[in-house]
Amino acid sequence: MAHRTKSSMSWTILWTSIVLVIVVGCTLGSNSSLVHAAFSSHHRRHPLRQTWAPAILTRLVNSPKTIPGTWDSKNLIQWQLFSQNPWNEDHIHNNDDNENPAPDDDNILSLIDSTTGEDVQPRVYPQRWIQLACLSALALMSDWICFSVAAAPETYELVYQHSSASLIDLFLFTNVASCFLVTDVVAKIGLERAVKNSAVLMTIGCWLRSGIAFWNPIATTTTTTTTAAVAAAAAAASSSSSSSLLVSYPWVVVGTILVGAAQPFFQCTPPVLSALWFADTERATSTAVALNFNQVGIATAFLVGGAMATDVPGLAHYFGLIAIVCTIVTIATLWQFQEEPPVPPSASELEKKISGKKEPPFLESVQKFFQTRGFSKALAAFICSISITNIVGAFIAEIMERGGITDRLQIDLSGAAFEFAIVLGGILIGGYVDRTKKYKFVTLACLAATLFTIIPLGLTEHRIGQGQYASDDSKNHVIHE
Amino acid sequence: VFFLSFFSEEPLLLLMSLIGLGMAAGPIQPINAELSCDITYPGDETAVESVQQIGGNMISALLVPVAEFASRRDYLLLPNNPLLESDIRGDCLLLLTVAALTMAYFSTFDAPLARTMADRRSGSDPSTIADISDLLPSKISESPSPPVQQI
Repeated sequence: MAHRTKSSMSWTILWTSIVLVIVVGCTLGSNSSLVHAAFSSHHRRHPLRQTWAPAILTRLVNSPKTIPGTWDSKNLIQWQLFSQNPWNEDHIHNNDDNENPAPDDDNILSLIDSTTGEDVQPRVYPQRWIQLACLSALALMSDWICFSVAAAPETYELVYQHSSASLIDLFLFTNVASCFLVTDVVAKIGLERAVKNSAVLMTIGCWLRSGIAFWNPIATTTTTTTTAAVAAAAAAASSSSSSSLLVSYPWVVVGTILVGAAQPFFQCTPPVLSALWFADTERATSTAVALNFNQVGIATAFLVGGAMATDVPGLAHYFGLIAIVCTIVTIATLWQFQEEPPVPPSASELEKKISGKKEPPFLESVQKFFQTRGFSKALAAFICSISITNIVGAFIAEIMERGGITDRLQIDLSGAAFEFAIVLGGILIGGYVDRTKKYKFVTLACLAATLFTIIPLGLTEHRIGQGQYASDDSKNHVIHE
Repeated sequence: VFFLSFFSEEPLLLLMSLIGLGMAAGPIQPINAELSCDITYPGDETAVESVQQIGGNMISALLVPVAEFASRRDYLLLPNNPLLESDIRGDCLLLLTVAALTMAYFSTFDAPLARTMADRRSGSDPSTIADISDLLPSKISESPSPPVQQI
C-alpha cells in the first residue's frame, strides 16, 4: 500500500507538472509584440493590424485567368481593404457598382495591401500555437472536471450521499443542451469572447465546487487511505473539521452545471480555430490536438483523482487543485487568446472572409448540412469513433481484468496509455491527412485497424487473452451461452 | 491468428491492442470533423462540430448501457480448434458490429472536397475547374498546395 501510495503521488506530481507546463508554455510562448498585442483588447492595436490600417479598397477587373493547380498571387481575389474591419461587407466596394463580391469568369480577384502595393497572400503566425495551447488546455480542464471523481468515487459518495455517476450525467446533459447554443453564441460574439467567457464560467464553477476552505491547514492534518477510514471520516463529516473543507452538495451541483455549460465552447470550436489560424496543411493536426486533448483530461482525472481523493481532506485538496489549475489556464487564455489573425491562413478562408457571408442560425445550418452529399457518412464515422473510445474508456477496468491486469494503478496507467494513444494517433495520422488530403482512405484504414484491435479486448479465456496474472474472480462472472 | 497466438497467455496482447485501438479509433474523430468542414465549405465550422458532438454524445450515451448488458454475455470462438479456441465478450461484438457497419457505410463516401479545392485553385474562378471529378477525394491530392507565408 505504501509503495502504491508513493507511486500514486509520483504520478500526481508528474501529471500536475504536465498541466503546468502546458499553461506556462501557453503563457510564455509568444514573442513580445504579440504579448503587447494581447494586452490590448482590440485587434486594431495589434502591430500587424496597424500595417493594414490605411488600406483602401478597389477592385481590379479583367485580370488573366488562372491555371488550375498553380499558385499565383496576382490571381487571388484582388481587393484592398478598409482599416477598421477589413472583412466587413459594408466596406467592400468596386468600380462597376457590383455589390456582390463573388467572382465571375471575367473578374479574377486578389488581395492587395495598399500600404506596400503588394498582393496579400495567406499567411500563418506563431500565435496560432498559443491559440491551440489555450484551447487544448481548456478542453483538458473541462473533462478533468467532468470525470474528477470517477476514479475514486467512494470518498465522494460517502461524503455527499450521491453517486459520482449522477454528477457525470448532470455534466453531460448540460453539455448536450449547451451544444445547441454554442454555434449561435460564437456567431454573435465571436470566438475570442465566447472562449474567454466560457473559461471564466468554468473557473467560477470550479471554485463553487471546491470552495476556499481547503486552504485550512488545521483541518488537513488527517490522512486516511483505506475505505474503512474514509467511511469513518465521512460518517463524522457533519461535525468534524474535515467536513468544513468541502462545500455543500448544491454548490457542487451548480458548479458542475456551469462547467458542463462551458465545455462545448472548447469541444465544438477546434475546427473553426483551425480554419481561422492554421494553413490547409496543418488543419487536421491542429483539430486533432484540440479535439482529443480532452482525453488527456480524462487520464488526468483517473491518475490524479485516484491518488488524491482517497479521503475527505484529499478530496478537498483535489477539488482545490483543479480550481487553481483552472484559474491559471483561464488567466493564460484571457491574456493570450485572440479572435483571428490579421491575414487569413488559407485561400479558402480568405475567400470566405471576402464574401462577407454571415453564418445562418444553427438549425438552418443543420438542415443544410444533411442535404450536403457525404455529410452523413462523415458524421457516422465520427459517431463510431467517439462511441468506441467512450465505451472502452467507461469499461476500461473490466476490459483490463479480462486480460489479467487487475491492479488498480496498472489499470489507471493502461487507461492513461489509451487516452495518450488517441492524442498521439491524432497528431501522427492527422499530419498525414494534412499532407495528402486522403480523408477517405485514412478513415477506412483506421476503421479496419479498429476492427482488428477490438477483438483482443473481448477475449477472456482459453489460450488467448487470459494472462497468467489474472485473478480467478475475473473468470467467475463470465456467463457461457 | 498467428499474431494473436504468438501473444497468448500474456496481458501484453491486451495492452498493445488497447494502445493500437486508441491510435486507430481516436484520429477518426478529428479527421472526419475536418472532412465535414471541407465538404460543407463555406459552412460554419462550429455548427458542423456541434452536430457531430451532439450526435456522438447521444449515440454513445445510448450505447453504454447496451454495452454494459452485452459485456455479461460470452461467445465461443473456434471451439473445435484447441490451439485457437477462445471466447469473446458481447460488448466487443457490439463494437465490432458498429465499426463494421460504419466502414461499409463510409466506403461509399465520394463527396467533393470544396474547401480543399478552394485552397488549391489559385484564382477563385469556378470555371477553371474542368471536371467535377477534380473535386473528388481521389483527385484532390494530385494538386499541389500553394505556399503559405510564415510570419
